[in-house]
Amino acid sequence: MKILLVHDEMINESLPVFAQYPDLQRVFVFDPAFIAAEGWTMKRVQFIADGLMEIPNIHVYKGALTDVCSSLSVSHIVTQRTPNHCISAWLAGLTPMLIDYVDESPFVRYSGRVTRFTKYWKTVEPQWFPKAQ
Amino acid sequence: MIERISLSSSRAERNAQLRQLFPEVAGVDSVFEGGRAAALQRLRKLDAAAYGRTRNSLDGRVSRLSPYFRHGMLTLHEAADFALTHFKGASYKFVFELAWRDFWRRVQAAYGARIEQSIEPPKVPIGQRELPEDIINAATGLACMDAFARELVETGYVHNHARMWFASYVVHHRKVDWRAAAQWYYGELIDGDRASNHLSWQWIASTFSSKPYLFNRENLERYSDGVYCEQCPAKRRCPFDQSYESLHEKLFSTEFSQ
Ligand SMILES: Cc1cc2nc3c(=O)[nH]c(=O)nc-3n(C[C@H](O)[C@H](O)[C@H](O)COP(=O)(O)OP(=O)(O)OC[C@H]3O[C@@H](n4cnc5c(N)ncnc54)[C@H](O)[C@@H]3O)c2cc1C
Repeated sequence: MKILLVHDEMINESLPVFAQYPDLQRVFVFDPAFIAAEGWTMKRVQFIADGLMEIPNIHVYKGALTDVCSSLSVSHIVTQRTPNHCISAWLAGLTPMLIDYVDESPFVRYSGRVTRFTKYWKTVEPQWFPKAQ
Repeated sequence: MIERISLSSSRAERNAQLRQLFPEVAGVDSVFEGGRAAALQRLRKLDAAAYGRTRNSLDGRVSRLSPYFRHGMLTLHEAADFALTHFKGASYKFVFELAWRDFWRRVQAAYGARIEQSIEPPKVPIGQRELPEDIINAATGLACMDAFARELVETGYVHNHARMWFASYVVHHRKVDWRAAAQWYYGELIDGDRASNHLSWQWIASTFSSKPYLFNRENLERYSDGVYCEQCPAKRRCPFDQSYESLHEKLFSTEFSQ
């Protein structure tokens, strides 16, 4: 089975990944081990749940991500790409699994080094505030 | 064991249901309502021009959009588009601040889990103490810091300036290991984000910036309208009531030892 795995940075049906895969079963997993490792408190869990209520046809589970996937016979996942290493590590626990990532819509285009903010801002600023000619 | 959950459509019932489902997850109920609709409602209230003038003050017109960005309920691009459409050039400061979030995420993309350790050597001696109970329990006896800790735990949201003051106090005055403090802080925040949080702690500590962030009483009093200092039991022995030079001297002149 192929699913759209909704992680905690994409709780919004208007994100491109939802439009791109309208027919996939949407799945969100509250994984107690992940929550504990993150150190989340109840307010965050509730805040996320508020957002899940607005996403039609989403199946919400409590359990280990690997167990949810094996009980649904998931062999292929689509999700949104993220630089969040904790989410990546969580998904890495699923190997072997085919995972397709859909990019987030970028705030700016930038491929330079990320050493100091000022250098980055100088490069990207004109994308939002074009310099007067 | 896995369980398919059918979440109650009533928020109060749902919150109680989640408490039952996750008894091991501590903390109070969320005062922020999550979701796309709530995010858009908050965005429509944004006054990006007033934001630029007042954002440093605790009662300034900050957006409180961070929990929504963190969970993808609103994108930075949407917020910048909205601000520019309605406030044109007066939205500069707001868009500039949005860019900080984008920047920190790019740092996270480049460094991965290494953002949880000091990226650069600190530019001043920093400590490695465990996070003390009085800080977590809002019992330091400093009215400002205790209020910031309480607000964090009770609401999961703290104004940026208060986050900076608090982190500076914890890291530089109390010599706590920034990693322990950042992890606790992250868990309590409703917008908790490894990139923005851990890298901001590093920015304060000077392990991802060229100097440590310090503040003094004058600065805190000014941007908090004096609300904490007036009531503070420690107002006559305020550790922040000094010039920047003497703070620097006091905090960093001798190599710190535990
Ligand atoms: C010690 C410390 C820890 C922090 N932890 C987090 C965190 O876990 N999650 C988080 O989102 N932000 C964090 N920040 C950054 C900043 O404090 C919050 O993003 C901001 O206070 C959120 O409130 P707001 O939405 O009202 O911000 P506004 O002032 O209205 O700004 C609008 C948006 O710009 C972005 N932004 C503004 N300032 C910053 C900043 N300094 N760094 C990154 N993004 C910024 C945020 O996305 C914010 O929602 C931290 C800062 C410090 C000093």
